[in-house]
Amino acid sequence: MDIKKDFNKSFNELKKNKVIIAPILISMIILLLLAYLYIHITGVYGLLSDSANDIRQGGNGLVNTENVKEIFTLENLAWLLIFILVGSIILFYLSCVSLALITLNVLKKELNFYNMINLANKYLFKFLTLNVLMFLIMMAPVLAVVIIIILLFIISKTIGIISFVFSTIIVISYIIFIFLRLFFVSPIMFIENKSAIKSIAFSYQIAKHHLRQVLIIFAIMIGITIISNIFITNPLNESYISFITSNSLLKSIAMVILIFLFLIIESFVYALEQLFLFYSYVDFRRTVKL
Amino acid sequence: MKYIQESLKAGFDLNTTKKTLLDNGYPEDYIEEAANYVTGSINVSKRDNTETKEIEKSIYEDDMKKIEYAGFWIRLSASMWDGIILGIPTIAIAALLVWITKIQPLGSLVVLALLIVTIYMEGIKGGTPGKLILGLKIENKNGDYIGLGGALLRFIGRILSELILFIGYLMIAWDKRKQGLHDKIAGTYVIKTKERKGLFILGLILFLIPLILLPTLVAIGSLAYFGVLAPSKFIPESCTIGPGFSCDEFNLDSAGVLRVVLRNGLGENVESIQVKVENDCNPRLREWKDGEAITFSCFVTLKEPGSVFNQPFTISYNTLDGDSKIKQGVIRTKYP
Repeated sequence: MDIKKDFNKSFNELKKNKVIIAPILISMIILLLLAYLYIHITGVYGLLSDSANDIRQGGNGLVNTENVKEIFTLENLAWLLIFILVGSIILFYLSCVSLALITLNVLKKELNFYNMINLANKYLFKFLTLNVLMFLIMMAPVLAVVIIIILLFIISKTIGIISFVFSTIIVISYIIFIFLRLFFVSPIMFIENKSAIKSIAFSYQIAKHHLRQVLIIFAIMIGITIISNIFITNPLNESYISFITSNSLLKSIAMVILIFLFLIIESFVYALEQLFLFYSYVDFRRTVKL
Repeated sequence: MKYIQESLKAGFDLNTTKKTLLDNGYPEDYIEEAANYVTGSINVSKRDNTETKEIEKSIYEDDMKKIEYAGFWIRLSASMWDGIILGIPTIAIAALLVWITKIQPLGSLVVLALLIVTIYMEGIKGGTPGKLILGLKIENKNGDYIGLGGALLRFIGRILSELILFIGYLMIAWDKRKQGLHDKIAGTYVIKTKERKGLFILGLILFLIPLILLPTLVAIGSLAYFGVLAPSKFIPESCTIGPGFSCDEFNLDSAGVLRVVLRNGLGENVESIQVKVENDCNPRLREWKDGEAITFSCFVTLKEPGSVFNQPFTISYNTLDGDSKIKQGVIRTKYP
């Protein structure tokens, strides 16, 4: 398989079909708006803004245990749960829409609103099942290990510590192994139209003797994530915090422009990552004989 | 291809021919393609005509010019030039923007712009300014510019090269075609198009200067910190005092009298002054006007002539508001 070709193809396709970034951009904007709304409802905004003013006047800020305790009331925690739930539903649907768009692109179908929503709705429950199963596969053994360690700690502290060290190594190895074997689950589900369980089984099978290729694709995706974190996510977060704590209109406007700019670039990078995963899967599938 | 054909005609083994080409720096995939073409092991008629022509053309061009890959040191020198041409101005602009606007993320935006410029230059112009001024060019196996996608992939590869403790960069030193990990990932080659020895050496010197200077400064600093190279050892006579007062002159005579001329620079008059070096000095408990210099005489115990006299002293005084304050200083000289 030709990783370079797959990457160039993903990049060129994204340049040609910029609409692919739309669902990701929208989901990020919604996420920021929800966060903004939440801090306004709960009073965190007031605390942050007063604290920033205090720091500007030479103080040490007002974020301390007492103030934080005052804000985290039962009502605010309930709001938090509601926001997380609403946010998760929206983000989940939009990520399904985003993968649907990428699938349409990979399968050379027309990228229009109707096709996109149709495909997203078709895969919605399958994708949900896939995510739940993936979570269980990753986390169930980890949870079991944690329970065993706690029990061992109760029996003997020394045995508990020793088993903690060993099981940490085992758990990390397990997560890396299973992650690499199940690396292609989403492209398999969307491109090959398989059920959640079949996608997992197929990914596990297909990656078995080709972990090197999977590792290379994974390494490139890690590289994209690192670049994105250094050059985009960090300044985006900085801009967002500066916007929240800003006390001048001009600065707030400048921050909004910066946030929007960073959001567009971040969406582009994230879309590129997903597109690369799908195109490299297509290439991988072509070269791998089962 | 011509070479393979002629070698085979001359009775040489195909593998030996391939090895000779490989040793001469031709890319392995080129050789394979050309060998396949010559021996007819792939169905030529089914191949895309343009692609075949491209391979023929690139092999022919390689025959014409001997490819000279850029090695580790020249690329290091190019990085130094990049630091000077792109890095320093970027940092300066970012710092200036943040300083003027007080908007921290603007600095990050400038750095992001540098990243975009780097990718653009590598993809479309064939190299960063540092590489271009040293006559280097980044190209793919067909000898073309690598394009924006290729440059982005190469940049991602660079992050991976750094992640494995820069081994990805060091690979350039021993690789046959001088490819680092990032070059291998992106399928790129850095070749020499011109000879720019002067700039190459200057770049290396610029790299070596901080490399030599930094450990030297660290060594001097450490020696000074642990007292081996303490400046006081080389400056035997000194009289230091905290802000607000200055020590204009001092002298220790053979009778054991230390005379120190101190000046009030507090910006206000003070009273009830008392200077103490071992014992109280004269005059004492008087007023001290702002800017006034007073000579204080103090009796000290004499020790072996030539040995170091290193004595702390204090100035205690009252401000006109009634606050009592103390300043500390040190006098260092030799016993007469």
